[in-house]
Amino acid sequence: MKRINSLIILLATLLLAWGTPALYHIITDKAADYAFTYYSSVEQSFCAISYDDEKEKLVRKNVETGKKYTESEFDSILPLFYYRQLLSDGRLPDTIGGEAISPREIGLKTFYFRNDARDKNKPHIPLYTLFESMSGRVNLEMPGDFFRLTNNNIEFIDPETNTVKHEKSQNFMDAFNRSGFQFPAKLVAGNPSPRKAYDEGYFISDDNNRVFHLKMVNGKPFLKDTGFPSEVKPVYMATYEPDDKSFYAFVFGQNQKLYLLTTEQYKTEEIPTPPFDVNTDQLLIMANPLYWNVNVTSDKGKEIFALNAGTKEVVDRASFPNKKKENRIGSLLLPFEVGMEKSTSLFVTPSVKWGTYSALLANLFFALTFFFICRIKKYKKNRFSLIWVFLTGIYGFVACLAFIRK
Amino acid sequence: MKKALLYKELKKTKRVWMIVFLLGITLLFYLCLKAGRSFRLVGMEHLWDVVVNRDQFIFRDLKFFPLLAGVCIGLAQYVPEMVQKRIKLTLHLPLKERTIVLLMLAQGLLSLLLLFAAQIGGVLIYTAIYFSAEFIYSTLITMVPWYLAGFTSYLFVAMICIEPTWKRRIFNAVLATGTIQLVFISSFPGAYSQIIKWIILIPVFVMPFTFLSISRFKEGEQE
Amino acid sequence: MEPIVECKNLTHYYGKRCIYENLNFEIPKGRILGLLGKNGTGKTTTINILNGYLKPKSGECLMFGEKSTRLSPAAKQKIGLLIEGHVQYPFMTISELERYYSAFYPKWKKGAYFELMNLLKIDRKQKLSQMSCGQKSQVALGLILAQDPELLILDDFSMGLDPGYRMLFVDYLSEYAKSGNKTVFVTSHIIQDMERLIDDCLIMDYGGIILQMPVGELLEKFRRYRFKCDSPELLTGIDGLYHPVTIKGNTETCSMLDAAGLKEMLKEKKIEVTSFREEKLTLEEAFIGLTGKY
Repeated sequence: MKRINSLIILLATLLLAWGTPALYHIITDKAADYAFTYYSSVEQSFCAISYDDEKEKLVRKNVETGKKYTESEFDSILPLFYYRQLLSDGRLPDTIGGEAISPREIGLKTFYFRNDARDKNKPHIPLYTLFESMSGRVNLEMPGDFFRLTNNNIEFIDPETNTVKHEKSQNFMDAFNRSGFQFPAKLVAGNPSPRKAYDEGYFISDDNNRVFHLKMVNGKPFLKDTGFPSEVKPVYMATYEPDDKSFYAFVFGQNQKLYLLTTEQYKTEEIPTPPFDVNTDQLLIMANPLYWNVNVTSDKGKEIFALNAGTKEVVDRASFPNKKKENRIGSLLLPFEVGMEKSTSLFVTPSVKWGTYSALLANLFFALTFFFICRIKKYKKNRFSLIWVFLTGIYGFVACLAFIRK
Repeated sequence: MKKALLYKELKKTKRVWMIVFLLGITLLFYLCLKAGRSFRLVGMEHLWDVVVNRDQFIFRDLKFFPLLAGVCIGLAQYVPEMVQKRIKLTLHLPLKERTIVLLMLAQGLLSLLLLFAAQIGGVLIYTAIYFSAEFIYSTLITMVPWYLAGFTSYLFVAMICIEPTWKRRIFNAVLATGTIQLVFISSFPGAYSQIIKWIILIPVFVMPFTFLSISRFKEGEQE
Repeated sequence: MEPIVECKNLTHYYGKRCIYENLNFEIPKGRILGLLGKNGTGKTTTINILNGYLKPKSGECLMFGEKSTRLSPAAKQKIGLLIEGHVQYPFMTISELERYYSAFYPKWKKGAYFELMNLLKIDRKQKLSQMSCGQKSQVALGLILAQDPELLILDDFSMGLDPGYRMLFVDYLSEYAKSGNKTVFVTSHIIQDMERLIDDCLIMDYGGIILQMPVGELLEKFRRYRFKCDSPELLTGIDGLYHPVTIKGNTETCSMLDAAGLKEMLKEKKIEVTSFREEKLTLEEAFIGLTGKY
């Protein structure tokens, strides 16, 4: 029975190590204070807009010089971001940075690409929707089937009858065979939503890490090896449909580099980014005709590169370390934290976050308190419980007291 | 002797089991009818799209049914044992105490298994008819934690009912709540797929706890 | 006579309250032993320790040579247990109960059970929950008699029963015990019933056992004496005198000594008594005499 009681104490300790920090964070957590930052094509530096808690108003300033702007001035120094407002006010310039620019062009070449670690780390039913790429219709229509990639073939399934469409499947399989695609597929990237201007199908990496482009054109299969550099092993791909149709997808390599798969014969461009781990960090690319703002947010903070939109060279960079201070009480009291969820994943995955050495002092305090309580109440002497309390601190203390054998 | 003991346990839970079983089947039937209505209104392709691309789960309303079933069967089986401390009669039977307790737990767990198998079977058959094999796997992975909650809740109800002191019952109930929460952290379909083989161990881990309650009952614990 | 049950150095506390320390007693084989004691003296505590449902602070109880907390199935098969309140499963019928229990006891005597059940004159398919207190007690009695155990333990067998059912219990238990050299350990608050049933009595008072002896011997030896005494205060604390009470000069006390022996003792202590009368006692009167009225 001693062993069973120990199991109960173990379970109670783990649950407390999960629940107590969770409750603690609910009470004490504050949002990370990152200002919205955008590269000014006028000032040639980063400008930010943030909320001043003391003055209770928005503050717009140049990150480098500290110069503050009014709302109207701020619009003017970020013409590519606020172009609609400037157009409405009649303040949109004809040229920016020496280059002639039109609202149509700004609209065409502006996009926002956000990639969260959760986009990669999520459960997914491996069935895909392949739209007709050349339907001749303005709106995309659901194709009437879904495809799956098995260990050695592609199959299209009719959802109305839940049966395989053999003819279509065979046609596409023939295309796979002709292209030299090596099953099984490793990554499949596409955007199965009909709510977009156009569809460019899927990008699929095969067993040899070659990236293929799959489309359906007039009902017929289109599968082509993009020639993506073989030395780069893709770990994640995200398709995107920019208005200017200049690229197909972003490819994240195992080397922690980001690549752009362009529509120019699948030419690959490396996109310089701050250090970025696709499994844990958030990527946001705010692009306009002149500059790309590449934001990477991680536990350490936010880092931004401003890239020349044409050459993709880094023209400026800024970094905002995470100012979130570890709460003193938490670091003293909580020796470790058991987590079941991560902000970077939709899977339930347990993890342990170790506290600081200063928590050992609190552990010692709890161990001594436990010792004296046992003495006063004349509980059974149990060295293991004492050691457990010392190792697990407040969690073991509460668990042992609740379930102690008297 | 063992058959007789199982017979007694069955007698206690038969009525409640039937009610829970009917409730489970009715709920399943209702959900299938609801899905059928969706089929007719929006078409199968849209339904597949909603499940695959928008991460919806057709049978999400079944989520807490296994938990409820576990609690009901547990109460039906163990509350009568604790009224007038009738469990003394059971523990006095000429069988090893461990055998008695294991048989009682086995009966409850088996009756739950039948219940859950019927429901999961119904869901999987329905899924297999209207959806591809990928859906079946996803459905199973999503629902398994809920049924584990059912077994776990039953085992905790046994532990709590047999525990002789109210103070410890409350602590056990808090422990039960925390443990069961482990399988309800996320309702995202397939969220537990990476740790499914570990969470299956939760009811296995909890099963011995009833023996401690029995031991405390036999020692006449009052605190 | 070899003991079936041995309790050695039993000590138990409820919190800081001591029930008893180093309690020792045996239940001899083939005897009907009654446990008598006032409320709070530890009867239920002793029964629970005996049944294995209470762990004493120290000491042990052996039944058929095995620790009562860890009886083997073979030992349990030899023990019939009647729990206080004639507890049984209310959701089962008479037939179902018989079918259920008979599976556990190879020596099961169906006839003994149904003989008692036939007296009930109710449908065998009637559930226990639909029966009166007395009928339930009869079912409980029938079950333990049918089990044919070597040792019967009955905790407060007369609780809630009218005289008719109490008499039934006493008659059947008596007959059962005598027929097969069985051992019975019984408690009850109704001492008249115990007197008709038990061979030996074990009387408890606060802190321990006062005495254990055959009832016949107790009633033969233990007498009540009434007399007038001028100095009743001298009677207090005399070894051999139980709870002397003097009201308006009339003293009442009990003693194991015979009349002559008592008079001799009083004379030695220079206590003058007059109107000396000796009375035989019933078991209930003897119990009150031993433990005191209040």
